[in-house]
Amino acid sequence: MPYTLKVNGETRTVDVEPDTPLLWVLRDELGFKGVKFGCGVAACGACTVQMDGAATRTCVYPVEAAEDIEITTIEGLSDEGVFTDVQQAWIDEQVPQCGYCQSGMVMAVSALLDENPSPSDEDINDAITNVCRCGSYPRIKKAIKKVISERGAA
Amino acid sequence: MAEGKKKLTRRKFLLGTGAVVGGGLVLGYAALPNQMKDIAAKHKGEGQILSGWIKITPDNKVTVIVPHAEMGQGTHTALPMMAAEELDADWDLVSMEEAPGLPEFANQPLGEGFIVGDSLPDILAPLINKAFYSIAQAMDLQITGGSTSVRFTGQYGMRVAGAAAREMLLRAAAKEWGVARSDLTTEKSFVHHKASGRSASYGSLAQAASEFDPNPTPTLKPKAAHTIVGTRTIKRFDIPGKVNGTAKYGIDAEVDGMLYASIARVPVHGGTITSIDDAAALAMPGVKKVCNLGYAYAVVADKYWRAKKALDVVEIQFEAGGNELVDSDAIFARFNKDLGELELEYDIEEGDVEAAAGKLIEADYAVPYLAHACMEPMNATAWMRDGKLDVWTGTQAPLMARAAAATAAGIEPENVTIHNHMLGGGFGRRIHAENDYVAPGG
Repeated sequence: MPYTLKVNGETRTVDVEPDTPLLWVLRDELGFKGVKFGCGVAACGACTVQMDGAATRTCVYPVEAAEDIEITTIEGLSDEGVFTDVQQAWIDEQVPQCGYCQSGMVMAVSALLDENPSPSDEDINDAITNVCRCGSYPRIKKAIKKVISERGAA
Repeated sequence: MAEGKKKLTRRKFLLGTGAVVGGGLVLGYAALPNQMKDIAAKHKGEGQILSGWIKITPDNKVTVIVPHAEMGQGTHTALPMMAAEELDADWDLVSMEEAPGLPEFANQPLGEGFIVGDSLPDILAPLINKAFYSIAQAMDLQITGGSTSVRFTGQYGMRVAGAAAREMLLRAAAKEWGVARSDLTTEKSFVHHKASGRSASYGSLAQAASEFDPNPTPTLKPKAAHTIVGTRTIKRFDIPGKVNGTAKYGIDAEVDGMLYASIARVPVHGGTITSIDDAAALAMPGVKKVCNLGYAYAVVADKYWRAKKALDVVEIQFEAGGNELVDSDAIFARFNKDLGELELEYDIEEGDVEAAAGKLIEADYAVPYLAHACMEPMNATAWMRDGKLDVWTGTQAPLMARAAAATAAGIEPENVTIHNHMLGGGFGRRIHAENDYVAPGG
């Protein structure tokens, strides 16, 4: 079945079965390999992208429901060679270890901060449920707070 | 025997699995001049290779070749730091390359040069006892594991390689300028001769320096003279690519027209498939083949999702093979039995525990058998062309992966190239002796 998707500002057409998870369409049909396959059951968040700005786990999201939605992957978050303030905070705080979860982490955090510029610790814990097997959580929190304070000062 | 002294050590378990061998390759390069020539020949035209792991190009850039995998532990940055420190390199000019999965970067040089020979340096003695539980096994490995990269490859390899390369550069400058080596100093990738005011970049001296043999026992810097290690924050090389999605993991490898396989194992470890019904799977769209691997079965299709869906409808019968009753209770029962019956060895004995003890605290500690749970699922991509096999994966043991892929494909290991990528978690899971996730691809 052909589907028309809006990914990173471009319109793309793919021909796949309706139940194909958006994850595999983004990775294998459209080449956005920064979107990662982790658990396949929406538990880990490695596959998180933004759909109309909301953090969404794509490994269980059927492509047939993804039309007419603005999809942003990690590749579309910033121009090549440029880092958003969230990505820069990730570098400044040296957040990633193995890094496999971090595309999803950055997408989820970016969505949270766009929606709520000054989330409390509780808000962060509620919204960012992505799994990091290396345990980078303390640095993630530090980096989030850095962005909050920088945006507040701007 | 005092209960407090009776313990099994974690180190023993680690060594028992062959995880600790990083020390080997260390000395290989830095210390064996004859190996250097082989390495240099293979890297011809890419700048001067000094001390095996260090490459200096005429533009004064230093590349440190790291014989270990990056899985989040930071080794791709830590080892170059250790080499650059002793080399006295300008850190801003330093980059890294991961060594290819080749025997030159494994423990063979050590095995042949030091273990089998009789010129074992004192510094190695503890490594031989503690790390090389089996020389034969150690020789064929290029492993990242057991927390050995910095402690062994870094300490005994990178530092020595860096210091040896610096010495070669100093000798080259001394010869060219006709001055005493002792009158020369180095700083940030330059050699200086204060008395005459002359200076030369490492890049300009590299060619001449490569004519000298590396000194296997160069003088290392005292800690107080450090300018890189332990003196300031150094940002990891691998992090920018990990925040914008460009870092390449094994699972990101793509070859034109590639097929995807989805694999499932017999539910009991050690079990074997006795019959397989693949008719329903074969009738599904895009499915090319259903493979019976004995211990596992796989569906090959033109798209991953199609392979995965078809896998769900394959029906198998299997023989459990004897492990079907092994569970946490059985494992703990076995531990407790052994703890009660076996004579255990001491790891460290120091002081008198009973005399020092004021109050006896008794407790039992137990942890269950845990899955490694890497974030990146096990994967490999293989492409066979004209009798040669390319494999893209993330592995802690590229030579073992190469051997496993060669065996699976029925070709010689020399015809297999392992393209190692970032590892989305390792934790020992990607060090498996049979490389269970690489062989099916091969």
